[in-house]
Amino acid sequence: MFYQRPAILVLLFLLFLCIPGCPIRWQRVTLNYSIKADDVSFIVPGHTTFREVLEKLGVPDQIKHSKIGPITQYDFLDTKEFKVDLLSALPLVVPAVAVVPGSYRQLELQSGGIGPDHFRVFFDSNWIVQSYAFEIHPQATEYMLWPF
Amino acid sequence: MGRDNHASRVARHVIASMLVVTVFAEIATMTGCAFVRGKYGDQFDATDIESIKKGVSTRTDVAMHLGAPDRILEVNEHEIFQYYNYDVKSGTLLFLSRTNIKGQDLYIFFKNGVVDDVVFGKLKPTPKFQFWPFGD
Repeated sequence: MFYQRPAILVLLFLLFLCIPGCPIRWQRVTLNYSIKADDVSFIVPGHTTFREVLEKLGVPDQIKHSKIGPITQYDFLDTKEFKVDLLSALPLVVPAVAVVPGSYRQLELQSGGIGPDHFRVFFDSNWIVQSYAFEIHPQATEYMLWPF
Repeated sequence: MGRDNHASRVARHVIASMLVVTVFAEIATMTGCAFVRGKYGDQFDATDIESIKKGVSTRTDVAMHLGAPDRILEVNEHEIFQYYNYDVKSGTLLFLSRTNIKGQDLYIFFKNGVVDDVVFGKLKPTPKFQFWPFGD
């Protein structure tokens, strides 16, 4: 049968993707570029200054106050979402279904995650780095086909 | 028998050809492609920033050149004016979509009401238009 041929199956899949209303979608939103461990290897606690951090990493997204000293924070965010409407192709198979309004014949699976990542540098009152830390959620942002 | 095989082969080719034509016709006529650009706040003007002099400019001078700050902070015995803006680029191609956002920040440090430091260094690279939502 023709549908046993991979090329035809691929074409059918492409046709399914082209159905108006976008039955399937991979969507990603990123804020800023992520800072990696290699990028901050120049930081030596007790020696590196605020100016040196600025020169290498750029201007921070936030500067916060603490009792010990200022804290600078670099923000980067990664959001991934996958969505599929399993019934969108139904009118192709059962044309009579087309009379039902679109929103009443949806079976939508949607999943994703938000990874609000940060890199924080802790300074003393003389703006000398005391320590630094990453807050990263790599597993928070993954495309998942099955949300259950 | 041979004629039946030939007929079924022709039928398969016709169906495959129709599918190919349909897919390309759909792709050619669909509206699932978009470029979106958005901005929040004005880009920083280098001449405005250069006009701010450490040890001389006051809060009023800064506000005159840069406008009211987006945020005022109190950190390490400094009053800080924070200015920021965002640039957004989004690309959608059929079922793939990617949005990139970049923020830029400018900090003016004051001590006793006079500018002590201007923190505006290496700019983050501008965002790119991308469709591909996988990888880095």
